[in-house]
Amino acid sequence: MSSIRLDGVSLQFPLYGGSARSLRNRLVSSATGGRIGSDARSRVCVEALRNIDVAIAHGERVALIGHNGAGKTTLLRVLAGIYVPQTGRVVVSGKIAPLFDIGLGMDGEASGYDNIRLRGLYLGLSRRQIESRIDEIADFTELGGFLDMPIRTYSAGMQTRLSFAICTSVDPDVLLLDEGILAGDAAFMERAQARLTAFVARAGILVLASHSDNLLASLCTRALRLEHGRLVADGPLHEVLSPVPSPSTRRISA
Amino acid sequence: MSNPAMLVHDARLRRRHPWRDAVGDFARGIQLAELWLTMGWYDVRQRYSRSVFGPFWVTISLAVFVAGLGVTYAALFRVPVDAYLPYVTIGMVQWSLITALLNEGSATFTAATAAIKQMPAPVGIHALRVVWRNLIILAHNAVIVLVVLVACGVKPGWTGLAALPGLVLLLLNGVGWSVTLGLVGARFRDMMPLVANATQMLLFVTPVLWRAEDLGERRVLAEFNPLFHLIEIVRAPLLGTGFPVGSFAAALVVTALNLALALVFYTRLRWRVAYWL
Repeated sequence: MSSIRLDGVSLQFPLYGGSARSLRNRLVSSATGGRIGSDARSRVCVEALRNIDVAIAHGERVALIGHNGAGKTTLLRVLAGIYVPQTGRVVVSGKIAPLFDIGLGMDGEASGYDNIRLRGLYLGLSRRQIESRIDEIADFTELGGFLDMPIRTYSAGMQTRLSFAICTSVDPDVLLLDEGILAGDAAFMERAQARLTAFVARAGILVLASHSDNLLASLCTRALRLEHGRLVADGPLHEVLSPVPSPSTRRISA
Repeated sequence: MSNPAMLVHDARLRRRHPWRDAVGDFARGIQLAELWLTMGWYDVRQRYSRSVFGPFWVTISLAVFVAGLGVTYAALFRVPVDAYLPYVTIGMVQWSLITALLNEGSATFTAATAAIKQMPAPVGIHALRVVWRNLIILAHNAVIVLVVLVACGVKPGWTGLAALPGLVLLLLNGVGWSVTLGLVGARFRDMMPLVANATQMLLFVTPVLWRAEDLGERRVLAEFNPLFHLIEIVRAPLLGTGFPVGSFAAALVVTALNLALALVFYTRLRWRVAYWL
């Protein structure tokens, strides 16, 4: 059984400007001490997530919605175990497959096939398991000869196809998707949705951050709305999406 | 379901067993050997993907450098070429390994930004990847050492095998450097130019081109240079001048201190890497 539980998760990013990031600045400020020193210590921080409490059960399909910079990607990275929150507790049980920064791939200079291998290894497959699935993954991407080229030569949509094919082929329990999935063309989106629907039918957990109401509506049942790093609404998708609050939606006042 | 994977990050528990957690995290990284071995291999392959000679470019340039240096400096120092050339060759091959470990070590994590921000894994794998990829390059350069030793008639015999534990110590130091310098380098981007400058200068104060004995009364300058001992423990056995017990003991101490420092940094800073990139 897969599950996700967040208790009081907060996360702040220190912002280092050009000068604040240099060692010299730090050394000079600590050497002179006094006011400049204390100024240098009071770093600018962005509060990316604030006091998030969420429990997601086996089989739930959750949409993350909110403006750009509301904390959706950060929350996904916390769920993936990439960001360790400064306060609070994260417990995720089940095999996690994250799919972020789809346009980047694992290594821009490596070929499509090598990126399949790298991502597969990251996702916990052995080389032998990857080699046995690589043809199936290659087929799904429909990239053909491009798979032998470095993925920096790929378009955004092609990279989406590749990353998506790998992540969904490892039979994850928890699938974390960022909005970049929309970079695919219509034909690919159709097959991607079919694959996601099949995944959802196996009752894993899907967490999907997107601005596309249509995509969310076709895949998700529950929605979490983030605003400035706070969870402001949690409930059935159509109710959280609608501007009028309804009683079954948990409106969280911060 | 068979033993599902668990992710637990608890801010309060993190401070309870910091050392054990750090060691455990790094050990899990080591177990992902297939991953970092593959990454290191791809690194080498891609760096030379469109060149004809590939990684042998490093070997060729090193060979040219050593040949020119061997002939000229042998005359300068008034020593026979067939005595000086093997000395400087082994020294320079190791020196290029050391500088690569230091320089690439300070970019351990910044160079892996895309991977670190996309996929969860112990960040220590990137330190192992740096060391592994430089071991592959070393294997290419070892050809020069072999050629020079044969050409100059140096026969280390069985004592030559004593170079292997020395090489292991050197690589362990590489892991330590990659962790420590890499973590500092992820936070302060001055680390790379700083290390690049330092390694340039270190070549001239470390007995690579000249011998420690040449220092005469100031030999202490070499004795307090940890890099001298790390080089000597490989060089002396290969030259057949016996096993350098003193240097090996010094190298053991240096390695222990280096790894201890790396553990301190890894314990305190590893989880911040994703924030800094």
